Amino acid sequence: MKTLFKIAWRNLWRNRRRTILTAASVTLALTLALFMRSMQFGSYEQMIRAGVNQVGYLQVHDTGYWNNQSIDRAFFYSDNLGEILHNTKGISHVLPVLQTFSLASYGNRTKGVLISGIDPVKENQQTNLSGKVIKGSYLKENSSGVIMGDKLAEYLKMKVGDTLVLIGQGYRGITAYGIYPVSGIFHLPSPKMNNQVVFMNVTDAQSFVYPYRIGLLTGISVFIRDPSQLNGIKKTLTENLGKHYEVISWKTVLSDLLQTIKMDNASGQIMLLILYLIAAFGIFSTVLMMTMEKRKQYAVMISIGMLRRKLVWVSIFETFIVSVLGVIISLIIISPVLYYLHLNPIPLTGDMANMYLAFNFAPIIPFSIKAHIFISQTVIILILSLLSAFYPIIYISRFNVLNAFRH
Amino acid sequence: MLAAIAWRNLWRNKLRSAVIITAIAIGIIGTVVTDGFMSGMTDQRVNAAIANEVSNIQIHNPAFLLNEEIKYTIPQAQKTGNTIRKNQDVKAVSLRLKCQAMASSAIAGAGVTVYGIRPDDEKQVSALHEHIIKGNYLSGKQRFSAIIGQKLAKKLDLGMDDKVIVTLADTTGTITSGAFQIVGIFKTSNDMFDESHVFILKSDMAKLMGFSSASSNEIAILLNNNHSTRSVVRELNKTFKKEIAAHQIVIQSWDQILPILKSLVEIMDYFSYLFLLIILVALAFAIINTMLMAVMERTREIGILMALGLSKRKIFSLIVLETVFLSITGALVGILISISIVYHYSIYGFDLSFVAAGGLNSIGYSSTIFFRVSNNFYLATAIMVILIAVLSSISPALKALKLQPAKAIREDI
Amino acid sequence: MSIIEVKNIYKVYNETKVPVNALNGVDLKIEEGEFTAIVGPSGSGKTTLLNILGGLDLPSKGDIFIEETNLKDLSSRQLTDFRLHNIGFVFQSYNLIPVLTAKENTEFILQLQKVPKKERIQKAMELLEAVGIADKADHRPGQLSGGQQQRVAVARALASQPRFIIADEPTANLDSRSTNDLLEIMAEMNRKYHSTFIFATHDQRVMDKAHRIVTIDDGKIIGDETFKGR
Repeated sequence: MKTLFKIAWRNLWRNRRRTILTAASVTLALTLALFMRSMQFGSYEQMIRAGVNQVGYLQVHDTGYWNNQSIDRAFFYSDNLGEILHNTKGISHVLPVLQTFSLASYGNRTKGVLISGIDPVKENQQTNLSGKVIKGSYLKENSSGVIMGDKLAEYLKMKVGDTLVLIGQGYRGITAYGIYPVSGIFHLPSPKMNNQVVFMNVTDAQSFVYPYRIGLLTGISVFIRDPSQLNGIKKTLTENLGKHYEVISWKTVLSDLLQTIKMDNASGQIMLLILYLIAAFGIFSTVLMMTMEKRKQYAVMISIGMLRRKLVWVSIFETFIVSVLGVIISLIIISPVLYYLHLNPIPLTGDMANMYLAFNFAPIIPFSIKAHIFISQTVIILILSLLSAFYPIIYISRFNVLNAFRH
Repeated sequence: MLAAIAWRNLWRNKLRSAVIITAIAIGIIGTVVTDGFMSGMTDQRVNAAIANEVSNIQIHNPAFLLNEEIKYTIPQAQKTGNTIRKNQDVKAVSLRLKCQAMASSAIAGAGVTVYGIRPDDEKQVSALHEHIIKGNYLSGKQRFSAIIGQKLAKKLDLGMDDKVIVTLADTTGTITSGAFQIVGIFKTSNDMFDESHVFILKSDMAKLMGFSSASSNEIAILLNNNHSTRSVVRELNKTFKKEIAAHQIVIQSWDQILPILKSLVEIMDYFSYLFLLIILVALAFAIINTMLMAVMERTREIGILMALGLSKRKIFSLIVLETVFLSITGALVGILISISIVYHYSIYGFDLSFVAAGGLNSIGYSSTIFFRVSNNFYLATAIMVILIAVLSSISPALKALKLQPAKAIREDI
Repeated sequence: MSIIEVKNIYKVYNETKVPVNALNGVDLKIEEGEFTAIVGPSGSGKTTLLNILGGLDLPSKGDIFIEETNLKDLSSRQLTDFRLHNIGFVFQSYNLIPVLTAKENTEFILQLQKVPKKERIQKAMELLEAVGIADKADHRPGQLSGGQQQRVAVARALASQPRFIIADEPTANLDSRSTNDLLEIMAEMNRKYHSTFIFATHDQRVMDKAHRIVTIDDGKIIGDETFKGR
């Protein structure tokens, strides 16, 4: 076997240029594939990370809230609930949230807004919301200010210090009403958020929708330490919380996003398929030529008593060495590039940036350096190149030695 | 004769040429069909947006566009509308009232855009009445009726004949609300649209807002042909020169109203060309490799041609011609197959529901895609393939030139 | 006056580590209408000399004149052109362009010389007739036997009416009948058109037909015999 490998190795270096060219086509295909995949997975990871960061890995609601997000399906926080969450292994922290829809007025302007009652400190640790405040200051505990998006402030012609009037529907049919000073104005990547959202202390929100009893929430976002434990934790929580609560995973909350990703991933895979097909044809044509050209050499070796089976191994080794060579070169070239781009994502400008913002994504192209991308693409390309080795295998086992001499 | 030699050389190693031709064909089919799919998707989105959402052209008071404050109506909207109807490219005109509001039910609320329309006019301009899945479209007879999107109905847990409360600020800034009975529920291919739009009668809306029923703050114009959008905008700008100069109205085409849609079209185009380029680079490698080998295995033959007195220029052209013939054959096969695939799906449509019907709707697309590839893209593909072929032939051709006739002739085959 | 005159030429190959002196001071004159064989063992410099005579290679030192032209004064492009118009070649086997038919192969040189089509075809057919292979004019080389291919090669070499024809081991791959036929044809051409032939050969049958045998060894001419009346 060692001798066969040596023969294969020497054969390859007899025609150096071709070996390099063949390896180069493997390199090109793999490099392009890795680049594309790294970019795609990078954006998916970014989108999911950003999404999960906002909604949590799991959300606990009153049963039925997810299908019908009405304030009437809010629930009162209880110590029992807190204890269960606290005692469930794997949960790192939880964020309470009370969301409701309301009209916001200032002067003679009015707009429908989404009120999001949050725990300012915990929320800030999770999303760094205070870093997004561009004017005024972030929410403070025990102070009844609100912060709003810059677009909304522009529409209502409000500035920091002005007083916002909120009128909406409260819990159990009461009318919710409140006035709140604007303590800050934020700018998030998403125009929708900037246009629509008002953040306030969760306690303020609770007294806004139902002043008679404190503790109302529409949901609790649950963050976990190890994402791979998601299903287990979900199961435990569902069992322990009982039928009055529902536990929804981020995959349901962000199902639109996941669908979009699935679509995009499918189109990415189709493009890769085409790219790989072309690369495979390129490799195959080289193997084909190598085989044809060595007809005479094969004939000589068979005539002097070498088994065809052994020749087959030689040609398998040849293909294998070339592909591995191509793979190694590709990894050497692309890994540092991807690592660099992973640390320094490409910023987008112009139309592209606007489109990303419109869909609530940061306008950058991030790159992923997850091992599975490298492994899967490398395996695919190695399989493809080894498939081309079938041609010499069939050829060697069948061809007629005498004919080869005559040519 | 050089061309004949080049062409016949291709068929000496039929398997090899077939492999490369297939690779080129697959590359072209891949890119063209992908482009057809993507253009089909954007077309569909654009057409749906024009048909159901924005029409071809809209006219507003420029002050209205800033913050959509309802007090900025269009002066003499009726007269303006009638003038526009006289344009022969205009199919229909609808005068509307538009307002940001809150729609709520007993249990939930949501921010929406409310349109006050005259059903007879609106049906001419918008295809929304074809997307009613429950009940009927608005009729002029039934007062205080509304149609809402399916997604919104679900969100507010409202069904047919339920009442939706629309709360808005009137012309004086006072918050007022009205209850409207749901007579129809619509579903377009764009979930985001369905989630945020309520249509009521214009007379009802005017009353709620404290306007006379003749006031309008939006004029929507549908044309006979999408392609005339630009020219009609130009004509209207001329017709209403005075009003525009007085800042009374502003005329916008759909791509100005939904710039995102415009950039979507451009970005899709850009991606198609990028993909074409990537595929061609990959192809170039296969071509260079094959031609280099074709040159190397014919060393002796090329040596003889040189000995016979074939000039270097001619040897060079021979290799270039061979590469170009190879590529053109592949390109022709690829383009012909692409045309037939694209043609097939442009007629019968490509059903994507097996991948993600819900997902497509949620980002504004229907799940059946009708392919379209512009002639420009075909032309670009053909030109780029030939260009890549010529570029790829340079290295093998130079290799051929470097051969020394005296040595090449003696080379063992 | 001689067609070819080689004056004290040397050829050194520097491609290997140890320079190889392929030719060490060769003087040779070839007259019009000669039928000359250059013989010598492998590595004697026979092929190098032939390449230089055919304008495929240039001497490291010394001059080669074809009539008044010193080949060393020509650029590579001029040399190519010079070969096209003045020198015909017949190589060992496989020296036809495989994708062209016998007729097209013969025509090819004429086409390079920009001879009008009608004249070209007429000339090609005439030559194929002369080498006795007109009935195979539309066959490609692959469909011809080795002997038939060489006859086409001779026709092609003659087509451009060159000053002389270089034939490098033309009979190396032929059986004796084909060899005899080919030699007959070449001798006939020599008589009929007064064409000058220069062979490099090992083949005794070729030497038997030659008018002059130049023997070369170690890069030097060691024998030059003329046989009148052959």
